[in-house]
Amino acid sequence: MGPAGARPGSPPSPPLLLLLLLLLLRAERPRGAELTFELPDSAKQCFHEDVERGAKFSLDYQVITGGHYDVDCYVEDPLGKTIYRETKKQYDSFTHRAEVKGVYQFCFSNEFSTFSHKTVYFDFQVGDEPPILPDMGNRVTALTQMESACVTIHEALKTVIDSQTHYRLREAQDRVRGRRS
Amino acid sequence: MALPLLLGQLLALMGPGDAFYLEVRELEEKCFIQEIPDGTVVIGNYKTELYDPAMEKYQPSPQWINLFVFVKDPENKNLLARQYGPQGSFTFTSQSPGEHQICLHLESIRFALFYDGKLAIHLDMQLGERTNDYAEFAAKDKLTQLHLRVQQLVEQVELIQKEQEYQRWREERFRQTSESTNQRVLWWSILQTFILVATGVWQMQHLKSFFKAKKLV
Repeated sequence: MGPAGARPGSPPSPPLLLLLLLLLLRAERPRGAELTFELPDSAKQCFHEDVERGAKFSLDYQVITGGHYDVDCYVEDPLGKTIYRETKKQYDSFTHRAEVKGVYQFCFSNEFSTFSHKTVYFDFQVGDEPPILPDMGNRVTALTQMESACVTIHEALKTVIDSQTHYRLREAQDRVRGRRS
Repeated sequence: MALPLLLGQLLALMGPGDAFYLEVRELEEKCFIQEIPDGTVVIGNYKTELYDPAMEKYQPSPQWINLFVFVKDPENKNLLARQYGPQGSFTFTSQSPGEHQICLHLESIRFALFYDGKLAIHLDMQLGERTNDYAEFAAKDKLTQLHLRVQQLVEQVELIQKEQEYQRWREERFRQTSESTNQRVLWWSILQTFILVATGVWQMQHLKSFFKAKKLV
């Protein structure tokens, strides 16, 4: 696609091309975060995220310490509709393809408990992982065998790291449980 | 014409941009926990916004709103205690393995207590290999794309190794705790048995002398 105003037959100017590329990158900025926070008793903590239409997001959460290791969780879309609601869950995973563009809200509630405060871990991912260099994200040629091998290994290592996170959380949970008894 | 637009887009791409945000009031402290091995670099990109009731949306914070960041290491020592502007990033490197606590709160540095004002903190915390600036590597050492990919893999493996080492340390600590608890329980039960037996013997003796005194035996 040539930028408007370019002379016919001439290649598009580099700054404009870069601008288009950046605009493309802005369209669906991949991002995600995992955080552990403390939720006091009878409290609710909400997080908000601006999601584009058609983007897929996923939320994993797990309660690490406190009481019966359970928490209420709900996710609302920008129109206020509840797209996910669970009560007294210990851990769960939820994915959704955003139909509406706007600010989605996901909340963790400990309002049912009057004396135990909870520590909750959550991992919220939107879109895909960003490439390590911006211009590696939109190649026109196919990947070489070496690069494909790198991609495969990268994905496998990500699985290992996720598995390690899972075990680390379990260990923390068991350690706290052990100390309490 | 395109250049200012280009710069605008570039600036928008830097920083946390549209990372998820949480709503806070002024001086309200929000704390997060990171359980990390030692030597891990953590970078937190943040952006704060102030709610404008007239426009019913969040606007970027004015310069007189500052973010205070406190990071405590597992031994409760202060690793980072600094004041930052309304937008930017904070970073720290863990010195010892374990649970680090990162607390944030916003303060207005002039005493403008805006009525019940709602603030939003956009936060994007990354650690390990995601903190690398690959563009810098590429430019400085003139590395190819493949080299960068392999570099990323090397960093990931190092992260995995560090996490494994951390879990090994955790297991060692827990084993020591369990062994010392076990020993203490053993000594306590021996002591308890001894006390019980001694009490029993004393009771018998006392009863015997009582009966003797009452001329019943």
